[in-house]
Amino acid sequence: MVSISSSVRKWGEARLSARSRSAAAGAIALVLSAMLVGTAMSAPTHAAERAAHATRTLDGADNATLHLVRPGERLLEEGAVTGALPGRMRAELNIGPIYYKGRFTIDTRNGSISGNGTATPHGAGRYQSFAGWLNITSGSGSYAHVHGRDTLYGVFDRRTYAVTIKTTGSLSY
Amino acid sequence: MRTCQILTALLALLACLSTTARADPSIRLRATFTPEHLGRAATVDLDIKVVAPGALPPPLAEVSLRYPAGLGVALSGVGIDTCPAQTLESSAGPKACPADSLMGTGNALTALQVGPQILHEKTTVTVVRAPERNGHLAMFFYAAGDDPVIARTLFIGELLPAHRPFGGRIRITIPPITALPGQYIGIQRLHLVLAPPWFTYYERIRGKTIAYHPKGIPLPTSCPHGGFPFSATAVFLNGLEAKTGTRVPCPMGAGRRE
Repeated sequence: MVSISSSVRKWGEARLSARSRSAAAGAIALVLSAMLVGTAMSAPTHAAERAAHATRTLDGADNATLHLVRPGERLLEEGAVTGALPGRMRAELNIGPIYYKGRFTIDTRNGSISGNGTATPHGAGRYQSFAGWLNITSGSGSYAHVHGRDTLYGVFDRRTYAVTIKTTGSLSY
Repeated sequence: MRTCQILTALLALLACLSTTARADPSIRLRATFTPEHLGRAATVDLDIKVVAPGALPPPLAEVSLRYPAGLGVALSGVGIDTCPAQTLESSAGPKACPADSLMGTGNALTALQVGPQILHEKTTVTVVRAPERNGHLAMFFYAAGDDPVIARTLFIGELLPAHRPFGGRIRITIPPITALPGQYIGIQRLHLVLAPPWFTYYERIRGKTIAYHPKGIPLPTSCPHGGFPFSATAVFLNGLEAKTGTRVPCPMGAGRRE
């Protein structure tokens, strides 16, 4: 438990430091803009900032194939993500008989995306299918303002604890 | 004369109350983990006793067993296949079920009144994974006894949510078991061993069938203050209810949480 918590803290720290870097870069850019344009033009920088953060939408599906990294009450899993947001996913899963819950971070080339999800398992057998929702709550880099809610479904292998997760929907960033 | 009548009525009422109190059954629960290593897979042993002093226990209608939060019931390696009720009800019983559907074993002590005599029977219990029921993980409890009465009974258990400090509950519905018309068999003791280490499962790897022992039920990585809580509620066919609880002490040197 302790090791899992510390691991999660590490992710959080990594995300914060990425955000800090992003914020610092943003601040430098603003200062440079102010120097170039002049003090009289400082008021419209808000509009420029809004324009810089113009919302973009990404539609599509992703497929994550995760394997167990550390067992425990919450399984720590990681693996590759393919599809609209290719990268690498790390997830902390709470696999119960009634609900599956989890938190995840996807590291992509342009930044990271974090969130949580809840799913309901169905059927019996070695390969337990599940379906539910995914909330995208935070991000870094290009996805610093990311948010969205997608559907998720997948399969959990009760023998190896490997998980395949498919997500569909759109996210704004 | 009137005082005498009141006294008689009071005595009758007291006699009535004491009879009722004596007849009310109670239950006892014992739970153990083997081995007791936090974060590791274990066998869960549950023992429920129905205590009805001086009388035959009333027949059980339902037993709810609550288990502690963090117990990895869904992460155990047992019950990765299912066995339908029709297979269990065949003459071969649980032997006809897929090996990978076995979840546990145990026994039950039952009692039956025949004339003035109370007959006891020890039955074996086999727990197998059942097809999903009402969207919940389900299991069958197959009880078989041969002496003095040949009896085969199937109970259904469902995994349902439970409030903290419990992680969930197994609700076992027990149908009325009769040996003779109107004569119910009472359960005095139910002993269950879930995810024992001696089960052998099979899997196909590159065309070969490999035997292996499935993982037990993973224990939480830390122990709650006061130990792991379990509780049992028994509902009898006559409407009476009995509750009890127990705790599995934290293993020596285990990390505790409040």
